[in-house]
Order: sequence, then structure tokens, then C-alpha cells
Amino acid sequence: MILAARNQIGLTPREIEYCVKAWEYLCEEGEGGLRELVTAEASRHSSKTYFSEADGRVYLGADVKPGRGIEANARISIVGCLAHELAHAERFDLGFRRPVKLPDKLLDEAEASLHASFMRQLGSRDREDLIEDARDRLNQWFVAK
Amino acid sequence: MKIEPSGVIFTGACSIQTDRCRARESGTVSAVWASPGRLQIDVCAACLDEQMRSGDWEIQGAKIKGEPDVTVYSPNGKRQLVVEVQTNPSCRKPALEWAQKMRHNLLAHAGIPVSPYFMLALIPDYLYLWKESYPADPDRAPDYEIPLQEVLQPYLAHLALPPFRVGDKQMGEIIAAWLKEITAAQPSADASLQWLHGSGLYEALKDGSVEMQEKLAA
Repeated sequence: MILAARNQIGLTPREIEYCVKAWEYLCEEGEGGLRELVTAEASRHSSKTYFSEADGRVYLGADVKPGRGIEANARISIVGCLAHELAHAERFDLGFRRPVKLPDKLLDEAEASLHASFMRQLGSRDREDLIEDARDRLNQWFVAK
Repeated sequence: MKIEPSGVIFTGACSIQTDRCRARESGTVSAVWASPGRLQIDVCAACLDEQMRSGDWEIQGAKIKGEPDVTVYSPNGKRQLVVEVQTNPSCRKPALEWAQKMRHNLLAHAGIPVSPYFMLALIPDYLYLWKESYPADPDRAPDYEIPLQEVLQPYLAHLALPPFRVGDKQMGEIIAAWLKEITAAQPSADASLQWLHGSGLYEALKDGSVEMQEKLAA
């Protein structure tokens, strides 16, 4: 069992369509308006969901879906994962610059999860999972620093 | 009323239908549960936002989004200018330094909505205008410093009050009225308005609509 394993199987067109819908719902009334969600690689195995500081866009990947890991990160739903990436984008707009190297990158990940946990569109389960994810990443930072 | 979002998002009609509703007949909505009784309500993002802002709905653990004092939208609904009104609590501090610190804090902590222009009205001295870039540089000096009395004098004269006696809310109303006038005005060769045309703000605001935090001003 891998602790933090999220889904790796490429998304189906229907799953991608759902992600786009969820993204629109999250972004519509957000601070930066509707942002682009790039879906070109989402159907590929092991593709990643991430915010690109270079172009300000979020890229959809297979790991947007939860997986079988036992950590909070593995449990975070599609909407929770997209909220986490939106949080990265909003924090970037606010002037926060994410450290790219470990272990400090973990602090930014924890802060993004906490930021996302305040989003009104999320259910209480997502909110708790994001807070737990932040806690786990902070613990990892303490161990690694 | 306490509300619990389900986190489930789908296509449907919004049950709330505020003025800003984006799914009157069909659109992206999410199911929320109202307590007591866990009644399901389907709501679009705009109506969810409106219900939260009005205080009609409360979601445990969710942040209430701060709204700028005045916002100007282009005719196609894009946010063009965000205005924050603040009083310089100590006129002993240089206004420019205070304005830069204030914008830094607003960017870092309050989350100024992204827009091409940001204006900080610092009572009683100046209007500071930033042409925003992406991503925003929180420590950048303003692009324009405009004496507040110079542009708002007709409104202040009407109130018969010196600027330092005008409160934040009232100043917000004055600025909204002034901006409303700008959105409908013809181009002017007035030298005191050179900054308005030089910055591109006039073009950005032309025929736009002005909104205040609590009520529509235009």
C-alpha cells in the first residue's frame, strides 16, 4: 500500500467533462474569474494535475481523482483537488511565490490546502480532507527540514 | 440559515435565481443541503456567492469573500477597476508610503480581485492608481498620484465638508458617483485629467457600470 497514492489511470471523456464543469463552478465567483483548465493530457496514464506559474493555467491530470492510498491526500475528491490547484493560482495572484525545492515546497502545499479548505463550494468532507492534507504536509516538513 | 454543500456538481436549473443567477434554465449547479430537514437546494456559483454575502446562508468553515468598495465593469461585464477607500490614520506618515503598505497588505491578506486597474483612495490626500500586471507585484509604487481634492472638489463642495471629515463609506459613494460620470463622459482635453487618458483608464471604463460594495450605484 502506497500511503499517498492517487489515481493514475487516464481520465475518460466523461470524467474530463465533469472536471471542467467542477472547475467552472469553483472559478466562476473566484477572485480571478474563470481560469483556463488545460485538459490535453488528462487522458494519459500517470498524468499530473498542477498549476503552472509560467502561464497561470491549471493542467488536469489523472491524479485529480482520489486513489487507494491511506493518507488524506489520497482521499481528496476531484472537487477538493481542483480547489487545491485553484488555491495555488489565487495565492500566486496574491504575490506568494512557491518554493520549488523540498522541503519548503511542502509549506506551500500545506498553505494551498488550507486556503482551499475555506472555499464555499466544498462539502465538509472535502474541507476536512484538505485540512488533514495540510497537517500531513507540515508534519513531513518538520521531519525533512 | 445554515447550509452544507454536498460538493456534487452537475447541470441543472438554479433554485435561487438571484439577479446574478447563471443557471436560470440550465447551467452548472451544485446541490447544498439546508438544515433542518436536509432539504436539497440546487444553486449556481453566483447565487451561492450572493446568498453568502447577504448573510442569508452560512456555511461552516467557509470564508466570506471580501468585496472591494467600488468596482467598475466594462459593458461586457469584465472587471476593469477596483477601488479601495481608506483613511490615512496618521497624516504624519507620508501618504505614498502608507498607500504602498496598504496595497501590499490588501494583496497579501485581503485578496484584491484581479483587474487591470487598482485605485486606492487615501483620505484625505490622494487617489493612487496602479496599472496592474500579472502577477501583481505587491511592492510596486503607484503609476499615478492624483490629488483627491482636484478631481472630487465638485462633490466635496456640495457636501461642504473638508476631505478629512468625510468617512470611508461616504467617500466610496462620492467616488462611485464620480466614476459613473467618467463612464458616461466624452473625452476631455482638461490637463488635470491627463492621467485618466494617459493611463488608458478612460477607455477601460467607457460605457461601463459602477458597483458599490453594498448597493448598485449605476
